[in-house]
Amino acid sequence: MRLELNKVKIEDIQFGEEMKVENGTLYINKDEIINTLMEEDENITGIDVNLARPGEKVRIIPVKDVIEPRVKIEGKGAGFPGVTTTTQTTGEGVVNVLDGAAIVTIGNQVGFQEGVIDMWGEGARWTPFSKTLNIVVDISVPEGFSPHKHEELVRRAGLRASEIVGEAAREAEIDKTEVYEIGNFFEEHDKYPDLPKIIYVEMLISQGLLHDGYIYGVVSSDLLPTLLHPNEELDNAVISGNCVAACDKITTYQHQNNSVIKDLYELHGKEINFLGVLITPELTTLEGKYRTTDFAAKACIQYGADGVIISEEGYGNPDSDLVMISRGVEQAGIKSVLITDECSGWDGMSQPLTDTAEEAVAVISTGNVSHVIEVDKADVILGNPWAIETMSGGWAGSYDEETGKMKCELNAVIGSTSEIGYHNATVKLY
Amino acid sequence: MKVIYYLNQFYGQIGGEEMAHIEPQYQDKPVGAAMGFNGQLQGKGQVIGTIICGDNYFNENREETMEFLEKVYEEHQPDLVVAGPAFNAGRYGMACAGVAEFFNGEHQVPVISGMYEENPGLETTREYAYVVPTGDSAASMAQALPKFAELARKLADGEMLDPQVDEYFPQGKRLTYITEERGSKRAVDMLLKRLKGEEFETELPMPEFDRVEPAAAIKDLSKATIALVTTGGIVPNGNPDHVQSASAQKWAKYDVTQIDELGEGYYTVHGGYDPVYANEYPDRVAPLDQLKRLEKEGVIGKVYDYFYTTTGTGTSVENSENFGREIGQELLDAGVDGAILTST
Amino acid sequence: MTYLLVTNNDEIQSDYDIHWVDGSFEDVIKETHKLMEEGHELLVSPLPASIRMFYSPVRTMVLTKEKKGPSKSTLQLIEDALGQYKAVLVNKDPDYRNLEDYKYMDKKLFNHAMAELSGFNN
Repeated sequence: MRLELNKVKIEDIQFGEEMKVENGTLYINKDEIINTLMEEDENITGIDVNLARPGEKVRIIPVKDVIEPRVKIEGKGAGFPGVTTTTQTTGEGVVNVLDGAAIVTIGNQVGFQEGVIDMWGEGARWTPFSKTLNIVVDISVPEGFSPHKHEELVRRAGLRASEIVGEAAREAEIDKTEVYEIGNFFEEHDKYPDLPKIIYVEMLISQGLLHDGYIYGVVSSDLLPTLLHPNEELDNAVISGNCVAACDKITTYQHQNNSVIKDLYELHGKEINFLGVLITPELTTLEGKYRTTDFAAKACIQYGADGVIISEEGYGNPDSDLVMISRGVEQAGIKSVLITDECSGWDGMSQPLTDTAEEAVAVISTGNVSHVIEVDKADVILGNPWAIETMSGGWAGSYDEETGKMKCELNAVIGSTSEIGYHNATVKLY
Repeated sequence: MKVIYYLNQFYGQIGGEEMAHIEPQYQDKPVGAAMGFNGQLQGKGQVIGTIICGDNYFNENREETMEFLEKVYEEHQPDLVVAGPAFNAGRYGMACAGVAEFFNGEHQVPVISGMYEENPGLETTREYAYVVPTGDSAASMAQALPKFAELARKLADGEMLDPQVDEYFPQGKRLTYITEERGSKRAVDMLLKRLKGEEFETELPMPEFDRVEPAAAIKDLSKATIALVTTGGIVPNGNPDHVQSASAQKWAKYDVTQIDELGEGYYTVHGGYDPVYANEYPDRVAPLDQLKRLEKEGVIGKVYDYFYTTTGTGTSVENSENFGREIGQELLDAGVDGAILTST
Repeated sequence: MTYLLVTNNDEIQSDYDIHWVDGSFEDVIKETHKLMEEGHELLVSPLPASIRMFYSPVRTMVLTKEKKGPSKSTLQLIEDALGQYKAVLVNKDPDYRNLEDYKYMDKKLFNHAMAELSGFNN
């Protein structure tokens, strides 16, 4: 499969009459977004679109998903196949990407949902999305709309918004092109017979409402671990339905730009032979966990992997899946590296993971979710101001009325402890 | 910076083992080892007083000692507390742990200490204090004190200490910070190192697993001889064999063939738990009464003639392993089929 | 195989037996442990999958009604669960402010777990 991503570098976003890119500025036709979405879904009672730029004292809360606006100009599988468009395999063709812009959907389906993006100050350091130019879309639904339907509606609308805005990339000037090309197992082996074969085991939270992921629109809990070509994930095959774990949920944007996939791709043909991405659901039942972790380990063995990188989504019971897969592959002689966040308490003294295995000798820690940061008062809040009160670390009198400063745990910050290693947090022992 | 120094009876120049029972006292000046430390502070602080306490007293009279420390804290409000170095002296190490936990845990006063890596007091002390690694005997005092002073001077300057730079035992605090490379890149680099057989350092070490293979199950319990062993410090009244209340140096065995329960003839010397209920009825900790009942009912064949006891708290891993082997060998030689080990 | 549910969530409705816990999330873990010591086997993870769900005041567990277990590993799991739950919460209380939403979510996640279980031919 060969995928070309044409990057259209966006340096600023503004509202405008027409959806287009001119001299690095993305002009957004607000009405087009609002009218199109409301036409497509009669359940939407209202939409608000706002812009948030890096450095502005804007707080976006609570965030549901982040999506990269793109448009496929050549090849099959345009849009989000199986979700917004008819199912077709993606991963091939030419896609124009509004590089640096992001659609951010906000609003909560249940009261305790959290997820903040601060565009300035201390909070901004801890989220990758303080550096993107954010088009914030707030979608209203009727009173009494069930959370289940609400989630699906906003999920879909966010993806559609990214497509509507993405159209601006169609005629835009391309700044650079990234080529992603990997053939089938035999072709690649023939080219690089001596390079170690690597599989990326990507665990997805698959435990029910607000805790799901989708591959071609199929909810991840319905799947056995499934091997994807890396291009598929880079080309909209995987989307997020995870609305609860702000710090380590893999947003759709992060699937589209999966950092493990990108970093492995960098080395493909040079130091490694990247076989593919094994999407592995994290199930709730114990029987389900044994099944998926066993199968994932077996798949790595069956495909002849020499090494695997295993990433997690969430914290708590998925820690068991993480170490079980590691044990399974290590016992077969395959070297594994795990990427996970930890929950070591406010003082960093608690046991970091809920499960352990002596085989897990190589672990990357993406941060302590309980680490407390202090953030300043925002000038503008996009979303629900009262959501701040329910934020992790945002209670127990941590809000200073006078200065407006607030304490919050990394837990509440979007992408702060990303377990696909998307961000730069880590942990040191003192 | 006001420093208060804690020493045991020996380093406080009161006496040796025979004075390990003395009550805590406070002197308004640096005494013994504290003097050497005081001389190296280079004006950044001074030792305003020294607490001296007997190692046995500290471990056997926790409550009273804590009350004493509280009074010292209230009256003198130290900015820094230094305890030890305890080298490999177990009870002294346990006392340093108590001092560190009190001043730092209760009152957030920084504490510096020092001991040998196998000192059983290390586990707790390091959580509350910056513990400098020392040799196993007082011969390394001359190296330890300058390190104490160095850490003290840095703390006086408001510097943040780092175990890798300042060479103290890591406290177990996992702190989060932003680093240059993103997690995925670090993961890929680590994998390459593993594939090439190169050295790498995990960012999240797994706990150390100490595996012991269990023996095969007893086929017929009704014919088996079962021995009772405890680390709960249960001993006959008067503690005839002087089993220590912490950092045990020995184990003891007692003939229990003539009794149906430990009852009034036994009590606890264990310094690590509230003794009230164990003293009322020691079988709560070492259930000889139940074993004897099971013997009468024919559920087990026989209760072994001897009951084995020692104290677990603060006992070094090395001693624990040795005791286990020695007791185990005796039981094996005596043809015992199984043992019940109770701990607290 | 039939199921025994252990819950403190009054929104849970089921044809299966419900062992009602008049208490907190923590009490549900403890009750589950007790029932497991009586022989019921644990079928779902005792801990949630996201920190936010750890703050839920309600929790529903699924055990087997039959007393043929539990296995050593699930017993270890429930024994560790209480400590781990407390370690995440530290000194905080469960999030009672959002009780209604947590009850709804717990029910939804429980339904999902039951759907997973019904996939087996038992």
